[in-house]
Amino acid sequence: MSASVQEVAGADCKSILRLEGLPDESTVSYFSGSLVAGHGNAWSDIDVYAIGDRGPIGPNAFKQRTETVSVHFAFARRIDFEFWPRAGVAELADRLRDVQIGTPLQDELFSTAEEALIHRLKIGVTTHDQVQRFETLRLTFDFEKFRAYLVQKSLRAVDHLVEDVSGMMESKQFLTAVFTARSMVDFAVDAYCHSQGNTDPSKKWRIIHLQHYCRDDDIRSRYFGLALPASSLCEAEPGACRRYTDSCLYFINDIVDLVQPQCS
Amino acid sequence: MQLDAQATIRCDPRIQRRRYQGSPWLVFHHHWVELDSVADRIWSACRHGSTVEQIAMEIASSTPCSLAEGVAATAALICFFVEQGFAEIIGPTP
Repeated sequence: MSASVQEVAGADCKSILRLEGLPDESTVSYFSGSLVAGHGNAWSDIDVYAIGDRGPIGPNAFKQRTETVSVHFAFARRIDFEFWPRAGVAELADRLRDVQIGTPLQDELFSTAEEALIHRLKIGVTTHDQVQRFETLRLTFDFEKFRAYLVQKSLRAVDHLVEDVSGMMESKQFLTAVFTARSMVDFAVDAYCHSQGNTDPSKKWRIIHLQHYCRDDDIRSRYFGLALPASSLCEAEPGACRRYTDSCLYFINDIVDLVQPQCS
Repeated sequence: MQLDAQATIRCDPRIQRRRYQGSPWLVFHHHWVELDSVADRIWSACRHGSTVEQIAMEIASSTPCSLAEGVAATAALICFFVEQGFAEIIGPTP
């Protein structure tokens, strides 16, 4: 994939960057997010990342844990600039490098924003004059390890929910078990898509990821059947709930068999 | 416990097969059982609806086991899974 781009969502990239005085010599800036990934919609914002040693100059900026976000409305879009300190991004790359796939994961190893940054760096594009610096930044991250980390993280969530579903059914919390089983199936599909190459941690694009990464019609149709179960389950009839949760458990067992060799 | 060659096994869906440090394990709540490669193949075959006979044949053809050893291992492991509450026998009984 070429990392160089002139337009995003019909807007000139250099004009967008000028909103925040970019590019400058000490900052690497690039475009990413759903519009760059190709599945943005009419209301999607434009995401711009700026890795360097300065903050934003725009009037609508707010500090997050590590990054500072500056919001603009221009070119018929909302434009979010995320300014990340260079040292913080380097520390993030080091933290990823230190992850040992197959050993227990530390809780909250990466924040949601950090996971998004890693993925968006992987798929990002920049202006022609910044390509070399952008590629140098990208090379500091092990994206394959990040993908394996996401597989393991999703499987860990599945495992927690398996315990919950089984315990809830045993305690006759039928409807709670049904909804928890449904959530468990979602995490299993996330694990599957990550195993097939997806590095986007965002859950809202799950169906797009499934359509893109799943080459197994059986998995896809079983998932849709479990994700959109009959509304009669709301009556919490024990037998129907048992059949549904068992089907969910069979499904996640099959997914784990496919996925787990990659993270053990 | 006696097994019919045409019996199939229903594995409890709550039993999770997981790999840790390269080895397969069966996990049920706080109960963990490590499997060797033959036991792992038998568990997987049970999950996928094979008959006892088919499982024994597969073990004999895919491992160094002879057919007699494959039959013995299949019978012993299925009985073990049933005794542990991990599975139940479906279909004809002798």
